[in-house]
Amino acid sequence: MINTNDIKGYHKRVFIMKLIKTKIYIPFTFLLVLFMITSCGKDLGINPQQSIDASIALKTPANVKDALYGAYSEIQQTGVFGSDYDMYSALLSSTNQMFFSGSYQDYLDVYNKRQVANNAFTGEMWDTGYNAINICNNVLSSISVLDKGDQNTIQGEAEFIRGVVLFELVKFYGLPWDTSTNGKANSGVPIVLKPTLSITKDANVKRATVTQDYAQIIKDLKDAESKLPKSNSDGRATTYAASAFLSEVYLEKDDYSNALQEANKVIQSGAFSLVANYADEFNNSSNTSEDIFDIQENSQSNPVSDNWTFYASLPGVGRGDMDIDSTHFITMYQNGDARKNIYYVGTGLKPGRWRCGKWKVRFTNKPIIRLAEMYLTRAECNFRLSSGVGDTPLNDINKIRERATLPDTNAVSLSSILKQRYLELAWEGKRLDDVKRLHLNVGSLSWNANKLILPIPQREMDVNSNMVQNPGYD
Amino acid sequence: MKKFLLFVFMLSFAGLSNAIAQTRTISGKVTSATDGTPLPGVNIVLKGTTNGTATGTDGTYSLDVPSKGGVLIYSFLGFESVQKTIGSSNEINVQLKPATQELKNVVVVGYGTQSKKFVTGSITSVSDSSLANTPVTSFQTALEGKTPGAVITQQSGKLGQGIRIRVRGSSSVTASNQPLYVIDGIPVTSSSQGRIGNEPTNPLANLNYDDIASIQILKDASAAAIYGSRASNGVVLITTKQGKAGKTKINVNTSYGIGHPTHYKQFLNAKQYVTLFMEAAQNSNKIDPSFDYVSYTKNYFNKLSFNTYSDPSKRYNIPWSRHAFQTAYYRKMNISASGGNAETRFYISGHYSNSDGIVINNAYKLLSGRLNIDHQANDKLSFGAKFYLARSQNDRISNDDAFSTPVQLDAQPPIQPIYDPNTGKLNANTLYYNGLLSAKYASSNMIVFHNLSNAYAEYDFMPSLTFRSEFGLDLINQTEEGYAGRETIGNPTGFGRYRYLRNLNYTMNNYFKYQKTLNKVHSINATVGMSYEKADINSSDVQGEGFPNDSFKKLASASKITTGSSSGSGYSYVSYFGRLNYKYNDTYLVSLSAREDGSSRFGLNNQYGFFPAASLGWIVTNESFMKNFKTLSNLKLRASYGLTGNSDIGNFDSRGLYNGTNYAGLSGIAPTQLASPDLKWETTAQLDFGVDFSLFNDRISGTVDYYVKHTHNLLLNVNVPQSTGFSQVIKNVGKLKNNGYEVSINTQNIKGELSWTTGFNISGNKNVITNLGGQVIGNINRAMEGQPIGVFYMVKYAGVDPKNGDALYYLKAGSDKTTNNYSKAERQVVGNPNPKFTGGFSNDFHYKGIDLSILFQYVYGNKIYNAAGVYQSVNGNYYDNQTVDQMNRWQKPGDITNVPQARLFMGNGRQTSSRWISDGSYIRLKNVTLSYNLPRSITSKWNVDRLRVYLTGINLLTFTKYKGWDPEVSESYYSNHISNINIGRNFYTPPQARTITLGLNIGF
Repeated sequence: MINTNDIKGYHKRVFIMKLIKTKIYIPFTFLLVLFMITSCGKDLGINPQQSIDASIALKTPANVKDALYGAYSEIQQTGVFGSDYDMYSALLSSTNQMFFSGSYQDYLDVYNKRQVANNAFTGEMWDTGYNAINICNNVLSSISVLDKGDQNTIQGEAEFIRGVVLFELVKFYGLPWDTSTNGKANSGVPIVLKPTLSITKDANVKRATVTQDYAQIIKDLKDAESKLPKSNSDGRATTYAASAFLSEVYLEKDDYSNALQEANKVIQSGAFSLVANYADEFNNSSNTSEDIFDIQENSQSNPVSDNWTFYASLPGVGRGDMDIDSTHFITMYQNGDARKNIYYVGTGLKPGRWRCGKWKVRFTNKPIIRLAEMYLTRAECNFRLSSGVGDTPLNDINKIRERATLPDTNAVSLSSILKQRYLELAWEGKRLDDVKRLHLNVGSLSWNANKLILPIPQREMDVNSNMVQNPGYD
Repeated sequence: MKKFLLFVFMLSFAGLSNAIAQTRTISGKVTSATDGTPLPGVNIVLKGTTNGTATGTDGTYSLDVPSKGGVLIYSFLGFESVQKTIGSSNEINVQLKPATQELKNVVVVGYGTQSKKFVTGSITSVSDSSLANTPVTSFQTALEGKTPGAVITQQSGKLGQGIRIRVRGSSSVTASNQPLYVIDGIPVTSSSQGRIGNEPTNPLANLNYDDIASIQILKDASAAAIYGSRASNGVVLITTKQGKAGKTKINVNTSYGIGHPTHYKQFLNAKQYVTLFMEAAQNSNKIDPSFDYVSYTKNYFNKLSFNTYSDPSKRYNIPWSRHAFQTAYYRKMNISASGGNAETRFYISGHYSNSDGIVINNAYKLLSGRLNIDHQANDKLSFGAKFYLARSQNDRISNDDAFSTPVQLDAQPPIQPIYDPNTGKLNANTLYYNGLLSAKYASSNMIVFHNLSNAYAEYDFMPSLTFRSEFGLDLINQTEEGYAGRETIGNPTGFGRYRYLRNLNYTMNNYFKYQKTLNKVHSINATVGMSYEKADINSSDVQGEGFPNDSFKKLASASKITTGSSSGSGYSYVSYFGRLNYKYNDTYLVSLSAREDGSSRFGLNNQYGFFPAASLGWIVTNESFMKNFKTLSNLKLRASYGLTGNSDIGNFDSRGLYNGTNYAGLSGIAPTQLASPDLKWETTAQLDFGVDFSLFNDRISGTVDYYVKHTHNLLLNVNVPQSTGFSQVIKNVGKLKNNGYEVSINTQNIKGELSWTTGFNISGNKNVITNLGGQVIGNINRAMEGQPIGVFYMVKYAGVDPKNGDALYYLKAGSDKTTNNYSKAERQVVGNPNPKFTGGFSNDFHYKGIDLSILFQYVYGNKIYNAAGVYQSVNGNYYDNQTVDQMNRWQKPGDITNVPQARLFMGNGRQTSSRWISDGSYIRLKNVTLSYNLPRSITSKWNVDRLRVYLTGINLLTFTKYKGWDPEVSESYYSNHISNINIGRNFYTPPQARTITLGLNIGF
């Protein structure tokens, strides 16, 4: 007998023959080949096509500038300067000067001063405002990435936007400027100075006091004023825009001296002049000589809900929700006042009612601050301080009157100055500020009534345990 | 030596020839049992060996077998196999019966099929081909009432829109809760591809139900885990028809029908309207003398009614809400043919259907063709392909929230005429934009070319080991075009839009199937493989205005292009899976499965997930001790446990993102999303116990299941304070639980010439969110801890103060104290939109050629919120027309009513509250079909196999307390996906259609 153990490789050959016989090797090789083919090169790294990753977003100078432009885009939204700030100013400060005839009950509630904390629309200013602030914070934390020559301007613009947005927020969601309550806890709105990169406990911010808010606003705007250029492209902020807003901030806190300085700075610069025809100041697709700061718009870039929607009633334009009352408002303009002609009888939806024509042509620029306001502020402050910085109150008021094709007046009083302010800037978002600082009543409500302050959005109350609601909304 | 070898050789040869001498030849003919035709290509094999042959073209065969004989197995695709023991005769003729029961006994599971007897998972199976005759546009709607464990809701009466399906409850809060759909082994796109700004559409509406052979819904972990990270919401497996060997069969199915809304809501007529609003104005004058509400109203009414409203003989009395509807015609024609032989089998079909919506300007047309081919190349290799191309056109109307949507005509006051008496044109001087202008001068449609095709090849390495490779694609080419003419609101120069989308979703599956029986009692069935899926989505969108006139509708003629953009996205999955089924003696069953999934949707830290499952089954009736227990013809106990995942989230949710911005031409970037790099799969662990039983020789049969599902690592858009600049960030934070039961029982009550069978099914699911990290999501519907998802959360309405007509609200939950100051009332849980149980009850009668089947479908215990109540049922707060129940308003002290005093503009009872929450339970006569099959004696004269005439009515009767349009509702305006949380709301949502069709079915 042959000893199979002696034959070299015998067992190996037997084993291989057995393998071949059972044909297992075929599927095994196939399996191997299969998994080789199918496992390699398989693509799990798919990238977004309409976004970039946040970790690389602010790494180049161009990107940091882009983020600043993104902040402008945010304040163009309905919730900041697109529409809300002047809509709510009008709804809250009016009684029978206008009527809200639209179907949105949430706006009607604000008009009736009956809004509740879960009002569907009043939270929009809060949301958009803090979005804009976050974008600015991102830009400000990346200033060092920029080329040295750009750093001041970009920093100035970001501080400008942050400052003016915080100003709008504290005016609507905080207590009015009142030395007896300014230092009270939770009287103001949260101050956020760092960009949000992740959610930590710091996200549950506390409300600041009104004092702190105004201090921060002034700090930002003063620094912006010093860093911003005298002129800028694409309708972006200039040092004069910062000065103009500062005049508003100081006026709101009854600091007439500083308000005067800032307004005067703008006028004295000679960079602006009143448009000859009052109506020509509005519905323009580019800035006029009178515009100090406008929100830029065009047909491809505009807020979702804008003033044309609410105020206009023309064929195919507007819902005509804001009815201007002729008896209680338009009659305030004397005959011959060119500003009266800005009002028209609507021919679109709900025809036959008076409409404000400052927003007639869609997708045009929206003046936020214009030179006329500077004259009015300078006149009022000079009058209150019995001074004549820049020019006398009488001359300033007559400039306004002349442009309104009214004859000059011989003398001015505080009330006549304030009346010109009302008539000149009507429906442009200034009235509520004036009501509160002048301590005027709105119907039966006093200037510091609870319902003249918007509620902290219910959603914010639900999410932030440190947030405290405004009085009258619990 | 040589001689010795030669001797050995001769001996062995002798042995061999001895062996040869000990064989016999068996021969015979194989024919079909139904018509005696010879069957070529029938496989004949000697059991336990590889010795076999096949019949020739005349059906005859001949096979050499050992003289000791054995058993011959005759098998042929589409026929029941037969075994014949070789006796003394050498001639064996066999008749094979077609396997008609084949579909009912075989269940499609992921990557394979299983015999229904031996399934250990929980699977609902629907293979009733007559469901294809239901006159609806989406096949899912036809399944209502027949799917225990899956709650199907057609959200709106609009055609072609997304259908909400919940298999064993909602397993997620932010990721999709819709099941995975797999057609012929290939996962398909099922989520809406429509544009944002209108409601979700249903890509599966493009499927032709007549092509579907069977539908299986995999419900528990054991059945579904083979699909791993996509399976938490259940898996719907659809199998299309395949050709069968034999004579070519041709089938023609045509039907025609008419539909109307199931119910019309009642609104005020002119007299009631004027009465109510003048009263409301007078009441407001008393409350607020500073404004003359009565004069304002009179002036306004004069304007709206062209100065006719105050004169009952002259004023208009228009039922505006009726003008939203039209008679809906339904037409369908479907022709199919199938046939083939042992080598090649085919199924081919062509389909045309055209449905009008019950709402004006709504229609859905489908034109499709299918070719399924299977080919057996040799005894080892088979391959095939399926091609499906459909063109669908959906004429759409605006979403429920738009002023132009027809059902919002409800809001128009009856004193307004439809046509302006001065111009004769449609009235543009209306309270709200007159939606009839959009109906006449605007159009919007979605046209989809939908291609579902796949190809496969199978190779038998050994009889027990097969390798299968499949490649399939779901290609959607979709255009949405709309034009609004000058007469429509906001478009003085016309407005056009065009959106194009291409979604290519392709899958490659490669897997081995192993099947072996050892020692007759150990049966092993294993599957191992991999899968790769990728989707690539491309879209573009252009809008323009400034058209010369309304004859120009394409954007080439727009003088101003107002927006134009293009975008893209995609995702991919790489998966490895395996399953092992073990059966001992046909009595003890074990199944194990596992899947490892990786997806591009998750951050690099957590891209892969592992999903195992196991189940056990015990067929008690196969035990020897049960042999004498004749009453119980089948009893199977089963249990399963496993993990499944949910990956249906956004494609880039784990990343921090900056998007582009535009500031009047100055482009920039802004942060839009916070990063979440640890984002991982939501996981559901499901435990299921089930019993399948049948008694009295299958006279009574049924299934009972009880399950518990725990979902953790919920992907939540956690609300963060907006002061951060973000409103949300995604985190794996929450937990929720579903548990429930499913019972279905079928009985054959009467057997014989008159037969009567009954089917009853009921399923109940209880959902509760156990952990949301303290978050609360949603406003009116909420996701909150301790409550079911979508629970209604708002101030609770307490009726009306009899003293003064003020609306009253409960101060807080659990308290009886009320207040008329809405700000003081706390919000609380006021209702659950999820039903307590749902199901169906069907009865089928058969007598000679007549069939009558009656299906009731019911939903119980859910609440519905009428979100339009704040406009239309609000005691004359604003000039919208009101529902008739508002005439029960409080008028004088002492009045007891639920409708507060009418006070114009004062908001009395207007704030969001449970005032408009009502019970949505209903039982509906869902489907009645009466059909008559002409006797064969008559039809065979015309060479026709089968001629069937049928009359079908759907949604004929509804029994419900709900006063709104239709209790089957869940609005989803402004979101192009089916919401998880906003359930059970109605906002001017059109009702379902009650349709009656007459059909003819001819088989050649």
